[in-house]
Amino acid sequence: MNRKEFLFSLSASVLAAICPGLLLKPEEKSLIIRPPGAIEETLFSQFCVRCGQCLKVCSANCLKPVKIIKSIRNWATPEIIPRQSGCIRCQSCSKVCPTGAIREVKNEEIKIGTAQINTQQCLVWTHQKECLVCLEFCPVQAIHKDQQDRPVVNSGLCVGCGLCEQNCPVTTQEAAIRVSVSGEKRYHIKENRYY
Amino acid sequence: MSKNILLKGRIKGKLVIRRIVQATSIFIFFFLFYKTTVFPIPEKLPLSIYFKIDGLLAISMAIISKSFSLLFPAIFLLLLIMIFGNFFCTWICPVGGIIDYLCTFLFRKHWKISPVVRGFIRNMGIFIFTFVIASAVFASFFHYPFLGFIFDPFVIINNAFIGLKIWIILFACIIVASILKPRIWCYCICPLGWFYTLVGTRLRIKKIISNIRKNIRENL
Repeated sequence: MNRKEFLFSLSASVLAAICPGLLLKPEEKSLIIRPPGAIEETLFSQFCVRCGQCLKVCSANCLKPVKIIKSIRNWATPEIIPRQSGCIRCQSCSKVCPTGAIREVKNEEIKIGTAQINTQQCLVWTHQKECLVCLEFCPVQAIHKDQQDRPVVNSGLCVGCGLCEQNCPVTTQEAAIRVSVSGEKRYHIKENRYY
Repeated sequence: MSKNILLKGRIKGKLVIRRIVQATSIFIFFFLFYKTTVFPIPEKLPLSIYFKIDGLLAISMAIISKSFSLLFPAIFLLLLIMIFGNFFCTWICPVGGIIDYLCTFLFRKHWKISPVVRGFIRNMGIFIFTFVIASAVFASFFHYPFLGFIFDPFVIINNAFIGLKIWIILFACIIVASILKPRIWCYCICPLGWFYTLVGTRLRIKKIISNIRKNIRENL
């Protein structure tokens, strides 16, 4: 390889590294539900090397790689799809993450997101049927009954594990109870704190 | 004549030892792979050791995080490569091991590649290697996404065996290319191989020490 070829390769690779960055701007907040102990969203796609260790180790099989159609920047990073499987907060993913994109945090501090009941789809709220599956499956007792025996989420207690969404018996594609990233906690590297 | 036989014997012996070491490395890789799929995971086993000793990922992470804490497990291997040259690709790398075993036992026909194509592939290798480093630098200073992982051999093999389609295709491409021309991925494209070769040849301490010795001898 001569100097000309080397310089051409070098400049082409630098250009190739710049182009995706210009197209894919960092997101401070995304709709992707990350595993517990994940670092802040702006750094996550940089620290995550898509090694697949977390996907493999997940005992609940709740971690799935983000599809390229959903987000190019976050392609192949781990996300929780609660409808398919909820998180059991074993934190195995944080134990095997080689780059520290997912860090081990105290179990009682975990907050992945918050569950919300879609009252128009819920069997109890709309059809006045007897169903409290979400209440039964909630591991932190964040769902309770109101005066009319309808399920209500206590967002302060909810950890966003998604077990309620996974087991919701509503047969449509979307469950009557859904977990979103609102209220999630992230590990902030600079402050070395999970909040 | 006897010298030739002795030399051939030594080469064969070295090859046998190399194959044993490669087989051990492949076994360790798949043993750790299996262990990560069993719950609860054994906390004493270094389940992500192959990713932690990956020098290129470690350097990239050090650039991105602007700290050296993620570099430590890889530094030990880098130091050994500086002393002994790039032994990693031929002795330890499980991807290289799989390629070697496939080429030795299953596919013996090797295609000839014209020097022009070979030169193009080597240029591509330099392009990929500098892309990984540039991607890490831009990720660190301008919050650009880090895309250097795409060509990492451990990322490819791990995800391929997990069963993710794109990575299976990529791994299959590596295997097919290596059947046509043994180790073409390792010697020409793999950015980790490029990195270790650079570290192993340019900074080879052994060479420097031997040069110093030579100078001393000449001066005496």
